Amino acid sequence: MGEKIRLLVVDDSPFIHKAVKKALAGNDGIEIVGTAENGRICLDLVAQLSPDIVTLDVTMPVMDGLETAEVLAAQHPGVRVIMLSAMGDEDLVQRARNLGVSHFLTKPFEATQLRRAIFDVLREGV
Amino acid sequence: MELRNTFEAAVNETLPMFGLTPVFAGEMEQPGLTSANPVNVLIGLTQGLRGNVLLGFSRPSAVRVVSSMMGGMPVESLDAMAKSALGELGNLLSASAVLKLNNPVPIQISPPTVVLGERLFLMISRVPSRVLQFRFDQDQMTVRLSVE
Repeated sequence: MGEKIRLLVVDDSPFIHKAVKKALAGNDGIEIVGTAENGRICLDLVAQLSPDIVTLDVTMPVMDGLETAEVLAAQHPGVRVIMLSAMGDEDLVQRARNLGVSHFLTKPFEATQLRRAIFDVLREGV
Repeated sequence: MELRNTFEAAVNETLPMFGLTPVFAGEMEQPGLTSANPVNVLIGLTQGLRGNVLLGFSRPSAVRVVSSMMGGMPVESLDAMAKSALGELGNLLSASAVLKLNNPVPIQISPPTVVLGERLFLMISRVPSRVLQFRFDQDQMTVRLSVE
């Protein structure tokens, strides 16, 4: 891992890309290396950009967040995942946990919640 | 608990996170789900509960809501980013409201559809709908709930 934490933001809503960038603005320790609108683009960008963490929306066209998390776990086990979703129901959280996702943030999130999740998920990976 | 109650709770919890203070301003029933608002956000209830949720705004109100969602950033028009923000608002409110129902079968919602237009009339469903009005400052949001 380099000096900065490399983050890839995956969500079909450009508004969420902007909200994550705004939440992390001024945080010198985290760099947003890219954004993607669905899981398929995410997998391409993970191969190209080698992020440390991917924030994944659940409901997306082409490839959803759960399917993407499953592929990431198989092909890029070093990449940590934080799920971001408006639907934080127990069933969804359990399905995500079964795929190895340990961090789940319900939208709308506070900037401090996102930053804490980023540092927590990395700490767990050490 | 009914969707009408959980939606009101969702509005009261979610909008303040964007710096808006909603005030419930009344409700009524309509024979179908229709809207003549210039800005509409439609969410489908697709599993566990079937129906639709429709948020309605005037253009100036929609612009100010988006500006609040972006932390007070000036918003000139309802461009692609603004439409994305409005869709996300519909998604957040609907998700929060259906989760509060604690339905034994998980309720799924559709991705939001944002519809803009002048002299627009949308007829989504003939199922009776509950119409809730909320005010925040000089702005207004109409929430239409239609459950089959």
